[in-house]
Amino acid sequence: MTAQSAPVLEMHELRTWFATPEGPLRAVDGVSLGVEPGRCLGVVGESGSGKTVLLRSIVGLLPRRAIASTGGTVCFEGLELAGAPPAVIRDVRGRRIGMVFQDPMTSLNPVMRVGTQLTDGMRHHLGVGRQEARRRARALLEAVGIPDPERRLRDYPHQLSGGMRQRVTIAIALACDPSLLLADEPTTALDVTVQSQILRLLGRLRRQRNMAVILVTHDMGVVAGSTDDLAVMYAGKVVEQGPTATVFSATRHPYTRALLEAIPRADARPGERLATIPGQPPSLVDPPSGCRFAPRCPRAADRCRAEEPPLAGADGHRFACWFPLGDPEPPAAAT
Amino acid sequence: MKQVKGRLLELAPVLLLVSFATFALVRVLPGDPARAFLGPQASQQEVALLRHQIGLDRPIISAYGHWLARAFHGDLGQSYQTGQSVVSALAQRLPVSIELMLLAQVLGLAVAVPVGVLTAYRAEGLVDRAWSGLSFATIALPSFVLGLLLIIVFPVKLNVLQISGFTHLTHSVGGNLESMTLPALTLALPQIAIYSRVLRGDMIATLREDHVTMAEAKGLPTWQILFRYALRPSSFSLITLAGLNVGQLMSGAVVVEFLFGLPGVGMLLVSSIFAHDLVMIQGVILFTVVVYVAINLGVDLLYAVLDPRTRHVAAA
Amino acid sequence: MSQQPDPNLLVAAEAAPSLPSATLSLRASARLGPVFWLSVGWLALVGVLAATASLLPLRDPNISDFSSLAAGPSAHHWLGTDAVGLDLLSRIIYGARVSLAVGLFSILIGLAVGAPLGAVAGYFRGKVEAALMTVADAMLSFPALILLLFITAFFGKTLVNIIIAIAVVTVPVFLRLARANTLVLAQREFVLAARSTGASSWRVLWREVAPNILPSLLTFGLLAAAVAIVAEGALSFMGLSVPPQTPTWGNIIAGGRQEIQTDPLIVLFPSVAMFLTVFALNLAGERLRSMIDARGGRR
Ligand SMILES: Nc1ncnc2c1ncn2[C@@H]1O[C@H](COP(=O)(O)OP(=O)(O)OP(=O)(O)O)[C@@H](O)[C@H]1O
Ligand SMILES: [Mg+2]
Repeated sequence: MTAQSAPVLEMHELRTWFATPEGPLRAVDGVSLGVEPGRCLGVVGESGSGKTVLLRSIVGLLPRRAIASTGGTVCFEGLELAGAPPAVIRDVRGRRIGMVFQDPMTSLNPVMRVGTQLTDGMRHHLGVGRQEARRRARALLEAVGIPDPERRLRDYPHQLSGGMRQRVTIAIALACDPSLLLADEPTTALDVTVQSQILRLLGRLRRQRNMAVILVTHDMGVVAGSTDDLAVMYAGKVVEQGPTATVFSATRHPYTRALLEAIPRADARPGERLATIPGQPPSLVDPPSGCRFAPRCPRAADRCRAEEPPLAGADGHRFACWFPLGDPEPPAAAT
Repeated sequence: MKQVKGRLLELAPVLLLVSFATFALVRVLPGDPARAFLGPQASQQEVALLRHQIGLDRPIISAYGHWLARAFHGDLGQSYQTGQSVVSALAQRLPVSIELMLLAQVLGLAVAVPVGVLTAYRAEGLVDRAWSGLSFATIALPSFVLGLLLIIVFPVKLNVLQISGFTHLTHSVGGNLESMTLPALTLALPQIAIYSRVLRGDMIATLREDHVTMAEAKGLPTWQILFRYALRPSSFSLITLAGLNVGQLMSGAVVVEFLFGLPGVGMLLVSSIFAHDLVMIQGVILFTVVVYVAINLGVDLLYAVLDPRTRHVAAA
Repeated sequence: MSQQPDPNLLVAAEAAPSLPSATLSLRASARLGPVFWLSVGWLALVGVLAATASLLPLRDPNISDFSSLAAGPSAHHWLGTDAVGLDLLSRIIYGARVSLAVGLFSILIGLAVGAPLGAVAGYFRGKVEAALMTVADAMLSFPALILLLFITAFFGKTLVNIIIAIAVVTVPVFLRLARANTLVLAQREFVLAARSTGASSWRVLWREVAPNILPSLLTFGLLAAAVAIVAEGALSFMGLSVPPQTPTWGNIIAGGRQEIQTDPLIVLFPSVAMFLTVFALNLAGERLRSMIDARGGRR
C-alpha cells in the first residue's frame, strides 16, 4: 500500500463500558482505528457488537449517566477528544465532525422547518447571517440532490419522503464543511434503490470535499461497494482490519468469513440482517476468556479459549486470531 | 377548516344538553322556587311576576326555547335583586376574572416551563427529586388554605402586599397589581406544580428521541437543544392542561375570588347564590359553561398550530 | 378527552387506564414502602378519632370557654381555642367526621354508579356506549364546583346533599375510567376465553371484568376522595356546606380568618389536618397506582 496522508482521526485503545445492574458492560473494549482524508472506513459487525457506541464515543454523544468507565485516546486533527471538556467537543461536533443517523424518519425534528434545522448549525458555528445561511442551505440541498430547494427549506420533515429526509440529514451533517463524517447505518431504513443512491451520493461528496468517512453498516454488500478500508467488530473489539479489497480477498478471521458467507444472494431479501452465523454473540458483561468468538468458531482450539489473541499482522492488514484462515488447521481442532 | 366545522358540530349536542340542564336546574328545585326566593310574606302578585319572569308559568320546553332565543340575542334577563341586566353584570365582572386568569397563567407558565425543562434534563437528580416532593405537597394544599398561608406569610409576617380590598386597574395600576398578586400566586402555585411535572414527563420522552441526538450532533448549545428543539414537541399535554385551566378561570376562580374579595365572575355567582338570584345564576352558569366548552374547542384547534403534522393530515 | 372537571383529576385519570394482572397480594404490600404506610397510618388515626369522637374525653365542640378566648395551646386546650372560646382540638376532630364522610361516601356512590355503567359501555360498545359517553361528556363540561354550589345552595345545606352532589360530579369520571379499562380488558385472552365458552355477558362482566378493573378504580378513588374533601372544604369555607354549628375543617378555617393577624394558629391547625389528610390520600393513591402500572398494565 502506498503511504497515506496523516489520519484525520486516530483512536487508540478506545474503551466505553456501560453501568448495568449486572456489572460493567464492555460495549467498546479497546478499539484502535484511524481514517485518512478522502477515504471511507467501513465498520461492520453483528447487531450489538458496539458499532454505534464506537461512533458516539468519538464525539461524546452517549448518556453520561449510563457510562461506567471510559479509556483510550481519540486524536482528531491534533485535538484530543477523549476526556475533553464538553465545550470543546461541542465545538467540534457539527462543525468539524458531521453525523448521519440510521432512521431519517425520526432524526429530524417534526415541528421545525427543514430550513431552520439546516441553518441552525451554520449560524451557531460559523456566525453567518440569516441570508447567507439560507443561500448556503439552498446550495447544500442542491448538492445532495434535492430539487426545488427553496420550497423544501420551508417544508416540515413529514412532507418529505424517506430518501429525501436522509438527503436532508446528510446536508445538515455537511453544513459546516466537516473534515470527518460519521454515518451510522445511513441506508438501513431505506428501500434498495434509494440505498444505492444515498451511498453514491456519500461517495461523491467525500471525493469532492476530500472528507474522511466512517460508515457503519450491517451489510457486507455495502462495504464492498463503498469503503476503502474495513474494520470488523465482534463483541466490542476489532477482530480484523485492513484495506477492504485485501480483507475480502485474503480473509484471515473466521468471523469475517462467516460474515462474508452471510451476504444475501440475489434471490434473498435485500438488506437482510446478518443472522446466519450459528450461535449467539457473547455476553458483554461477562465475556469469555480468550478469544470472544471461540464459542462460535469452527476452528477454535484450547488456546483460543484460554488466551486472547492480539490484533496483529503486516501491510496494514491485521487480525486477532491464533489460527487464521490460510494457515494450517489448528493441531487439535475442536469438536 | 373542515376540522373546525366537525368539532363545532360535535359540540352542538353537548351545548344544547348543558344549556338545557342549566335552565332546568331551577325547575327541579323542591317546591316553588319563586316562593322560596321571595319568602312567605311576599304577595301573590309578586310571586306570579317572578314565576312569569323565570318562565315557570309555561311548559318547560317552550320556556326553554324562549330563554334560548333571548340568550342568542344577548339577553340573559335581569337580576331580580338589583335590576341590573345579567349581561352588564358579567361585562363588569369579567375583566377582573380575565386579569386574574392571565396573571396566574403567565406566572404559572413562566416558572413551570423552565423548571419542567430543567428537571427533565437532570431527571432523578437532586433538584428533580426535591421538586417532585415539593410539587406533590403543593398539589395537596386546597386553594383557600394556600391563600391563607400566603396571607400569613406576606401581609402578616412580612408586612408586604396588604389585603386592602380590590383596586380597579383604571384607578391605579400599582394598587391593582398589589391587590392581584396574592390571588394570582394562590392560583399559580399549584399550577406550577402540575404543569412542571407534566412537562417534565413529556420532555424526558422527547429527550430520548433521535432528533434530539441529531441536534446534539450538530454541536448546538444545551439551552438551544432544550428550548428550541425539545420544548415544542413536548408541550402538548401542558397546552391541554393550561387550556382547561383558562376555561375554568374564565368562569371565575370562585374560591380565590371569595377569599380575597375580588369582584370577578366567581364572586358574582357566589353572591347570587347567597341572594337566591335565580335569573342571575342561570345567566352566569350558562355563560360559564359556554366559555368553558368554547375554550376546550380552542385548545383542540391549537394542536394544529403546534404540530404541523396534524395540520397537513387535516388538509389532505 | 377534551372536557374534564378538574386538572388534578385529569392528571390522575389520564394516566389511569392500566390493569393489574391480579388483585394485590400480601407479598406486594411489603414493597409499598414506608411513605405509603405512614399515609395509611395517618388516615387510620384520623378515621379512628373521628369515629370515636363522642367517646373521647374531648370538650364539647360547641360550648365556649369564655375564660380563654382565642388562646394558644395550653394544658386545658391542647390546640388552643378560637375567637369565641371553642376548643380547637375538639372541633378539628369532630370536623374530621364531615370530611371523611364526604370523602368516603361520595366516592363510593360515584364508584357504585359510574363503574358499572362504564363497564357496560366498554363491554357492549355500540349505541349504549355512545349515549352514555355523550351524557358523561355533557356532565364533565359543567364546571364541577359550580354544580356543587348550585345543588347545595338550593337543595339545602345538609351533609347528605353535599355527598350526593359530589357523587354526581364523580360519576362521569368513574364511568370514563371504567370504560377505558374495560376496553383493554375485553381483548385479554382470559376474557375472550370466558366469552367463547358461552358464558353470558353479564356473568363475564361480573366474574372476569369487575374483579380486574376494581383495583385501579379503587386506587383512583383514593385520589378522587382527596379532591372531594378539598371540594367540601371549599364549600364549608364559603359558608355553603353544612350549617356552622357542625364543625368542619373548612368552617373552622373560615372562622379563624378574622384573627389571622393576631392568631394565625387558629387557621393553621385545621389547615394542617386537612393538608395531611389530602396529602396522605394522594401519596397512598399514587403509590398504589404506580404499583399497578408496573405490574399489569403495559404489554
Ligand atoms: N445507554 C446504554 N446503556 C447500557 N448499554 C448500552 C447502552 N447503549 C448501548 N448499550 C449496549 O452496548 C452494546 C453495543 O450496542 P451498539 O448499539 O453499539 O450495537 P450496534 O453494533 O450498533 O448494533 P446495531 O447493529 O443493532 O445497531 C449492546 O450490548 C447494547 O446493549
Ligand atoms: Mg447501531
